[in-house]
Amino acid sequence: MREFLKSAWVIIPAYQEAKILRHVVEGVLRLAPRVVVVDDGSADETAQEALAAGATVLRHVVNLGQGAALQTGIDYALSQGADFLFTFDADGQHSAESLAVMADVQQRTGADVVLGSRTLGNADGIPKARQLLLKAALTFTRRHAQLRVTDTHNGLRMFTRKAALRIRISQARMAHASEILLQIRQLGLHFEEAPVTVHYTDYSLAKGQKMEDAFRVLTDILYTSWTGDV
Amino acid sequence: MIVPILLIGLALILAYVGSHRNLSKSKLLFLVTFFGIGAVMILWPELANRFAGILHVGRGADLLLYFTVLCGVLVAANFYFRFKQNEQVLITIVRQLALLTPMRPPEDGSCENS
Repeated sequence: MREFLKSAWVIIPAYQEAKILRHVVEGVLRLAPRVVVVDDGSADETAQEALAAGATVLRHVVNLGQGAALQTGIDYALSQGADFLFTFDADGQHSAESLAVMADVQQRTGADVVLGSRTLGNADGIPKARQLLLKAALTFTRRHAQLRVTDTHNGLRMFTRKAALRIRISQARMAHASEILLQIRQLGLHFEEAPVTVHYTDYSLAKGQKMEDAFRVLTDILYTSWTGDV
Repeated sequence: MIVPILLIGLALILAYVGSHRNLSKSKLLFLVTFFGIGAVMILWPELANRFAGILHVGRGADLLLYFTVLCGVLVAANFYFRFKQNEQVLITIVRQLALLTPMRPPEDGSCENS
């Protein structure tokens, strides 16, 4: 599995994450040496920290949103010949060991997409309010995407090259999580879920999605559904 | 005295908007309708009450308020759609720029574009 991870690319979208990013990138690099950080227009030292940690850095000159940053990273990794791509959050919530778990699931099942699930795994220190928000998001996503998943808006994912070439993220901000699931169903891709651990800290909770973001996500999804821009 | 001032004001705004922008036919129709209804309501205010009675919305003032809110929502939706279109253009440009200038960690520890 370690050999497998050595050939995979890990994409980390980051915005104003200078405080913690070096630690996150170094943790990932211990398992997967091909890391690309997409600095999404940060005003702090995010790009410098990522470079110092040993990652390749792509820089958005203005802030576009996590969805746009992910697609930029995916485009780059594909241009470098990536056969397997992971997406990974920059706020320190994810454990690098989860990459190996997801890779193992992909190798056993041959799935096009492997989605990290904190429901199947663990969500350490998750507050009650966040739990309720995730539950509501999951209910909505399962109806909207018509996909029986146990988690949504989890930044840990794995794509094969075939899947990454077919999925196109058009939602620039946080609605990309629902959009990816919708495209998995529409494209008939084989997906599996893998148990992963998500660690909630004061830092990640301050950076994470809030209740008011849910309205924005909903508006973006409705706009896309209405205009058919996917 | 107030009636001619309001009518002149409406006509000036319509003339300004119409002459300073390349408007599509649908938008021009919307503006003419909007300002036309405004002029009618100024000239014959009792009409608003009669229409309100027909539509069962109470007073003419209520009808005008609902109409204004509806127009506001349409304008906001128009701005939102335009914003989303421009956002896609911006994303394409910013992404291309980022892909053209990747920064890779060099072997000697100094950082540079490649």
